[in-house]
Amino acid sequence: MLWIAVRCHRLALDCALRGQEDPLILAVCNHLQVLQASEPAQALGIRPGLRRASALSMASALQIIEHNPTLEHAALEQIAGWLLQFTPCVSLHPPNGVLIEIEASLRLFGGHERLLARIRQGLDALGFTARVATAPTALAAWLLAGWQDGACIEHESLLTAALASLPIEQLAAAAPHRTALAAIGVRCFADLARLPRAGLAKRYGKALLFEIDAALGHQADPRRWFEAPARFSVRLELLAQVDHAEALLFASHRLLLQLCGWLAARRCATREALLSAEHDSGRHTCEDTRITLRLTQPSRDPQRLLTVLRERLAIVKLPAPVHTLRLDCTTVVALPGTHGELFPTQASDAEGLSRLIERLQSRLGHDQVQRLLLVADHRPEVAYRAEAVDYPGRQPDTPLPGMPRPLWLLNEPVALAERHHRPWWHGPLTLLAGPERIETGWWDEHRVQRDYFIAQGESTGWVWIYRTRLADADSGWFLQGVFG
Amino acid sequence: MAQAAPVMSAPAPTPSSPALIPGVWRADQLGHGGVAALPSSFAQLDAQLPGGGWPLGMPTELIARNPGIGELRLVVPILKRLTRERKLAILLGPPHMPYAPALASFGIDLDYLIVIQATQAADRLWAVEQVLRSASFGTLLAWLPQGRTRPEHLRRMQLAAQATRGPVFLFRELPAQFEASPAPLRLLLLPRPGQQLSVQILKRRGPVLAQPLVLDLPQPPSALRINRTDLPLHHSRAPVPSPELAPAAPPKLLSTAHAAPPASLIDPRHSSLPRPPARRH
Repeated sequence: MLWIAVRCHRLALDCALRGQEDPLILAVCNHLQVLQASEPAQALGIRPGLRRASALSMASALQIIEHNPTLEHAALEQIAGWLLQFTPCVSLHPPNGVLIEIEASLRLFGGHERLLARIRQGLDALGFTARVATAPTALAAWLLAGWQDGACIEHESLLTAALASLPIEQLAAAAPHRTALAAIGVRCFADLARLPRAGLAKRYGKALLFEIDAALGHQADPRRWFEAPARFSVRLELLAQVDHAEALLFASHRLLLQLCGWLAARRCATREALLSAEHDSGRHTCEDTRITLRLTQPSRDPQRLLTVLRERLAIVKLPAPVHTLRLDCTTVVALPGTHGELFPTQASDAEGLSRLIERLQSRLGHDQVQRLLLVADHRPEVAYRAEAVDYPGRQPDTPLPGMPRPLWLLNEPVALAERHHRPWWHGPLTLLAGPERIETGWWDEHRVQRDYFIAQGESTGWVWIYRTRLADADSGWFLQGVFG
Repeated sequence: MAQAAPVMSAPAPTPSSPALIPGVWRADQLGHGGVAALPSSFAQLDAQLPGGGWPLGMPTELIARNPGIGELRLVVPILKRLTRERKLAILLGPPHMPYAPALASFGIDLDYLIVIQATQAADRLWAVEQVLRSASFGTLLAWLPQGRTRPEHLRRMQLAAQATRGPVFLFRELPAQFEASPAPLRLLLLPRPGQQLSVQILKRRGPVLAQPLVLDLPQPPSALRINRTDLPLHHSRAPVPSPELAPAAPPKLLSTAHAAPPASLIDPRHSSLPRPPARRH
């Protein structure tokens, strides 16, 4: 067994700051004292343990947020959910830690160093700061993470030596007895482990003995595995109100990374995700702004989702300032991992195309990237359909009428003037062929009774015009197509 | 091209002449080497294009006054060829709806055709560049917004096109012929009567071609054959006494004029239209 302990020593602060791009003078307090302070606040002398009132007197610009254990636990579960992509053995260690067992995953992720770098980088991108350490037992990893960031002990035989000089303040069960232990000269782990076991248990409780044994691997330390939630729906409260949609990019990027981690853990991919921006409920109640991120192919690549998101945010207008973002994953599709490719293949070409289409769709609109479908109908305006490019329909098998048709069809037929008994469009038109009578569609509103002609003008090429057959309000000559 | 004639009739290159050195191109020759191209299926045009066809990896400008003069039929053969090879054709910002039944009747596989609508000029220019950058298409036909297309846009498109593997056509309007453009091949298309298209090569890698080419446009394959007659262009001065063409009476008479079912598609009366003496072009 090889455990990595992820110890988020400033979880409360990160929960507040991760949606925020710029550093803030911020402190997390309970009702009495400062618990955690951001770097700019620490630079002003605000340290954990300082009284709330003293902190405010030291820095007038200090922003104070209340300690919220529920929020922190939710954040811890999010971290655990993200870590599930590396191993199924993830265990929460409240209030601010996650322990993962990674021995079986080392080879897949290219060794311990690489895996650790990936975890650090990923947590940083999610907006969490963590200390990590590796050890053969969960508790040893946890203790080392609090003491030496990045410590790595690969074999059990090295445990005793590595833990020997660990300060006893790190042990949770030793905290109530700190002064008593200091009085008898116990300063580090080795001192504690040397004491007679029976006496230790009697004086300081069995919990301390258990902690020592579990850290050294002498005592079984069963853990409860964390299970990822079946649905992905994560909220991120923003510290400051955001007015511009583009300013949401930073915070929503973090949510996207979290989504991709969740998808990777489930060996799944998404085709559609919904980003909701909750507005400040001021005088008017305002509907959430909903931004749908749609991909043509299911994917769990954060870059791909980010491209779509960036284009969407560039065109979204916010009706009111935003205080909270929420990301929901609406469709989940199973997608096994991909193989690495050395040379571009047909599959990677298709991937490039679907990325292109997503990018175009996100800026121009989903329906603006179209494919053309034939429809077995004689009416020219109904004989084709332009559908969004991911529309699944197939071309009909019925043969087309073998009549010449123009390459360009006008969106709306243009009424033509009639001069000297001839249709007129940039000059008189000469009829070349026709009439082709189309009289159909009595079953719906688009009933047509027309005689079509191919005509040519002096300055135009071939055009496709028709004359309404029956006299009614809009009878006359119309131009419907150009032969191109 | 009075000056061109003596150059053309220059003596055959001696072994030391630059023409035999690979990589050296003389300005009086058509640049053939190094230009990847796909035949346009118009033999006359291919003979005049460097590389013998539509160049790949560089934009080709097609300048025409208004849509419908035959500019689309000029590229129909290449669309047919590429879509049949399962390569994607992208039509970006077309001025009208490309009519699917007509495209299909020319043999174009509609499953490999994508139409991108972009009404805003800025969006369209952006989309052209995105498509070119992705390079995941067989051919791109883009209609550029006249008046909003600046030389720097064209330059960027040209650079982006270098990574692509298919022909890129940029359709531009008539005023563009007087603007400078980095596109290595620029053609001016002018309508001609009788299903022909006049193609003037404004710019190519080779000597100037003074005489415009006249191409026969592909006809829509159908049961109907329309005679490629040299149509009476100024025919309108003499009104045709055909009842079919002269619905002179008020609209209510229209219905009576068409009461009989259409006997045939081509009205025999049309083919017997009075023709002026043949005008060969």
